[in-house]
This record gives sequence, C-alpha cells and structure tokens, in this order.
Amino acid sequence: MLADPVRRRIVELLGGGERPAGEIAQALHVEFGISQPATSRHLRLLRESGVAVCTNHGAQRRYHLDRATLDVVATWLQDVRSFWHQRLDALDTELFRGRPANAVDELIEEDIS
Amino acid sequence: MTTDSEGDIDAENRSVRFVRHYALGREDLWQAFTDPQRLARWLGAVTGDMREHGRYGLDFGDGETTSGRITTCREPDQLTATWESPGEGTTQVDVHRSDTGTDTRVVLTHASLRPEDLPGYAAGWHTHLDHLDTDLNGHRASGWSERYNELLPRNTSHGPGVPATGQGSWAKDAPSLPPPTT
Repeated sequence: MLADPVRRRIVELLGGGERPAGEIAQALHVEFGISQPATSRHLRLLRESGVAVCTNHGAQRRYHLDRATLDVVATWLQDVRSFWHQRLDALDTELFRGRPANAVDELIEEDIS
Repeated sequence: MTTDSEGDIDAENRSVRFVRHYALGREDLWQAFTDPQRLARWLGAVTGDMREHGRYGLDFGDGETTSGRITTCREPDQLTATWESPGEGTTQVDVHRSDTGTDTRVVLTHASLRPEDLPGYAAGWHTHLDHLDTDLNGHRASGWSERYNELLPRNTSHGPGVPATGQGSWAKDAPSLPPPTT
C-alpha cells in the first residue's frame, strides 16, 4: 500500500491534518502531474485499507488519517526494531565469546586502562 | 495490419488520442464502452443515463465523481460526451468505432484538456484501455496505479517518486519512533 510514492505523499499531506479531497488532488497534480481520477483511485485504496477515513461535509469530501491504523503500524515497527535490537545484542555477545582468549584479555585490559 | 497506438498527445488541440483494434463484433464492443456493468470492470462505476442528452456520473473510487452529458450516441459507432472532473473544467471524450474488414477499430480522443493534464490523461487512458484488454481476455484487471506510474512520462518535471516541488520526502518526514524497548 505505502510502496507507492503518491500514496505516501497523501499520508504526509494528511499528517498535517484533515484536508478536502479537492485540495489533495490539486497538490498531487502540482507535484506529480497526475489527474483527478488518478487521485480518486489512490484515495479509494487508502480508504479501503483503513489508512485514511473520508467524511462528508455537505458537497465536500474531507480525508483524515485513521489514528488506530497508524498505531498498529507504529507498534509493528517498534516490535520489528525491538526484535533486531535483541538479535544484534546477541550477535555482539556471540562475537565477544568467539574471540581468541588473548584477544579477550587485551579487550579487558583496554577497558580497565 | 495496423498497430495499436500507445497514445498520442496533441498539444495544439490539447488532446490525447488512442487507436486500438479489437477482435470483437460491433455490438460486443459497443457494450464494452457503454454498459455500466462492463465499464465497471475497466474504467469506473457509472451511474445515470448513458443515452443521448443523458447525464452520467463516473466514480473512480473515492466519490469525487467525474460527470458529464452524453452529447452524441450513435449506436454502435460513436459516443461523445462531456467530461467534467472536479477542478479540471469541462473536456470532451469521443469514442469512434469502425469496421476494418478484419477487426474493429476504436479511436478514443479526449480533448480540451488543460495542457498540464495531458500527460496524466494519456497515462490514465492507456492504463484503462490495457485493463479493457485484460477484461476482454477473461482476466480480472488489477494494479492500476502501478501501470499508471509506469506510463506517466518521466521526461517531464513530473513523475512519481520525483515530486516537482520536492516537498515530499518519506524518509525525511517519517514520524520519529519511540526508543526500542530492549
């Protein structure tokens, strides 16, 4: 979903707050040269995937980001980072243990001095 | 044998034009361009009256509906309509069908576009016509934006991934994450 640069840009735009669909289309037209129907398709995908929410204000349609979906993404990223931190710490330990004995001694001496 | 066009942009007439050939009968082809159920499979959700002088709506997904009036409806050869997308003014779409003797030829022209809209509409119609081919081959068309991004010209100041104004930068603007809990 967010592999697409246009959809990432929409998320960035909505990160600044709720915006009318027309304003989003205008911004994307200026920045990417895409037509209103193309913007319409991107907004649909973001809405269907739960990233963005659309509300009707009379004739105007306004979009905002779905906080719950963003929280899910943020939690996922945090979990991934946590996983790799633990694995990389384990790698450090393993590399330390795997050193020749004299190299470990030198390292300890370095730490002491 | 005539080759299908990849879409010609006519800057002077502010139009994009496609010539495609189909191994379909005239009625079948006419249905593909006028029947809402068929149109939904390769273009968008059509509502309203597709007869001459009727007003139609065309939703590409988010409800910001393109609309217009059918100005000419000569079954099974010609369909002309105004095309009004929000913020883009009134433009004209013309679909002209003819028999070549071996297949059916369709010339699709979208005219009176704003100059800055020409590349986007050329890529858009190209993508939609490719989806029509996919549908006619009995497959479900998908991946609209990927194909559209491929076709949008890179030799202009525009193009996905290279915002013209340079405002968008995912990496730069990515939200900062809380520190890892190791």
